Amino acid sequence: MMKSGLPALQTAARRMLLATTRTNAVAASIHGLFWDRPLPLHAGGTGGGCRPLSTNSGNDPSKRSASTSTSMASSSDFDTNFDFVKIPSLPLLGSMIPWHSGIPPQDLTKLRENTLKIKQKFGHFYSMGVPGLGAGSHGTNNNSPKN
Amino acid sequence: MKIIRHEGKYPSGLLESLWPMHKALQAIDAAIVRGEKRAFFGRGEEWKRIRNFLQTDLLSPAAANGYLPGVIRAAELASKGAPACSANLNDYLHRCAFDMFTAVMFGELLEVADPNTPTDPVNLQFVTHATNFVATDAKSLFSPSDAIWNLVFQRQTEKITSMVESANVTFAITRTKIQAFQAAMEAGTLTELQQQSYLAGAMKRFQEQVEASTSSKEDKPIDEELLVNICWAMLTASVDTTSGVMAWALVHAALNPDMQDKLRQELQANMTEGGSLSPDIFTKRANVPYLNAFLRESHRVTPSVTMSMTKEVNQDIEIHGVTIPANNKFGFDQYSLQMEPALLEGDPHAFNPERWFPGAVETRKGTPSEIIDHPFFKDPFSQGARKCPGSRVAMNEVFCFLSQLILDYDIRCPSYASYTEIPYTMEGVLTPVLPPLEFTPRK
Repeated sequence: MMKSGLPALQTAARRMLLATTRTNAVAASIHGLFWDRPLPLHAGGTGGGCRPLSTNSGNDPSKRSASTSTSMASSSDFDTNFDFVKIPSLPLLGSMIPWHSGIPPQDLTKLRENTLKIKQKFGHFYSMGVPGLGAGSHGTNNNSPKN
Repeated sequence: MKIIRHEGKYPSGLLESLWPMHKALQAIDAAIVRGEKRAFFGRGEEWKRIRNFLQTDLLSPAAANGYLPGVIRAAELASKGAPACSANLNDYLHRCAFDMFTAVMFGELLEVADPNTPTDPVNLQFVTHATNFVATDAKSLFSPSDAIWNLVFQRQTEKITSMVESANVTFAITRTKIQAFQAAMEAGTLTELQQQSYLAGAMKRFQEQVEASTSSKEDKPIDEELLVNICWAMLTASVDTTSGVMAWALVHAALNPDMQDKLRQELQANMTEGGSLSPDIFTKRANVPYLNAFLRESHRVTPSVTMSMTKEVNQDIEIHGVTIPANNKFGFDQYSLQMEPALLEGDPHAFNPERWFPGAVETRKGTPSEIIDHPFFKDPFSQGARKCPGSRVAMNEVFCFLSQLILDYDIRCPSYASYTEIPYTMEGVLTPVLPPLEFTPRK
């Protein structure tokens, strides 16, 4: 189990300091918040040993062409680019800081609209840090027709 | 599909992620989270044992449909209260969901929804606290500060304290109800509906397990406390979730009088001689194609959750050329693709049940648009071995309740022209803040 009080704070702070890459940082943030799961090496544990997620090219969200038009469109217009995008994430806070991550501010009265905005900006296949919800490392959203 | 196939012997599910619920139940030492690997909130042998017991007589189509007579009767009674509750429909729908599920669980018609009939205040108390428990769980999940305080610093926040109080109240009520049921069962005074209830079957299975068990760990029977916990979990989960789905369906019906007429015609062609809904029409969705398409469209444009599945893989997995290491968690965005302009005819925000008619589905075959017809998109209950065990019962409740309302009333929404204008928020699920609706009796 997580240690309570000061030791827990120290453990979390140590993980934050040891998070040297963005992948590590996300992994550390999620692990710092999770229950009693041992920290695997590939998820950015304190022992180094990081095995970052391998990605193919095309991580630039600005190149996406998601349409917001409500007019009739042909299914041939469907964006079949499934490049993986890592939404920026911070230790402990995950991707919940909008100016850092680029996702809309958390708002329970706009979840549907925000889900569309995230997909429009980051595409079909992305990872994001969600404190308390992510396991292992990233809270990864996979929305693949094939998989 | 690939992710679900990589889940391993003990699949992951949403319940594991509900840390506020786990925290609150741990605080009261509930049997359902006690023991090896967080029991029902984990994924070890204990999860499997509880899940197997719970889903028997519930998940299969035959089991779920067996409860339809009770659900229909409860819906008939609940519908009578709609006009008197038009100013506070959200609370009314919580009570309707409770009435229908207690008909399943206990075989009792409690009539909590209709304010014109006497109601045991204990039942109202249960509805209030069950709603608070599930809604506060959802709100905590979306609160990074609550996650940090509770999980990192191990400091119980106000939200968790409120959940603990609600859990204590609802557990006490559930225990009392089960004891009363058990006493009636032993005295041989159960009604026919009670004898057909989930609890009657569960108690028989419980007794059989106790008699058949040996001292070995493998066939350890469910104990009485765990049985109370299982019933509590189902009752609590049944209130705020089903009512959210019903609320959206009601919104779309009220905003589309022409569709109400079509639904009514379809239902009236399938009534019993006594003028009631027949269980037979709900056993096959093809019997009520327009109602089926209507609810499918309601789920597309106003889903009760946008992320319907969370799964964790137990080995490295390659997705679209990317290797994701084991122990990563996946979410399935069920909403965005169903609102994708390039995949839909016309305005994706337009409410149009005809998208789901067989001809329209056939037209999409072989095109990128056919993705929206994949079974993973059709409902909010997740997939695989961790699919919501009450999913079929819940959908039967929604079908029956909406049908009954439409048979009983002309429903109108005078204050809004489109569902997109109606505010919503996260309760147990995404739920509209229902405006006052007009219910004009048809009989």
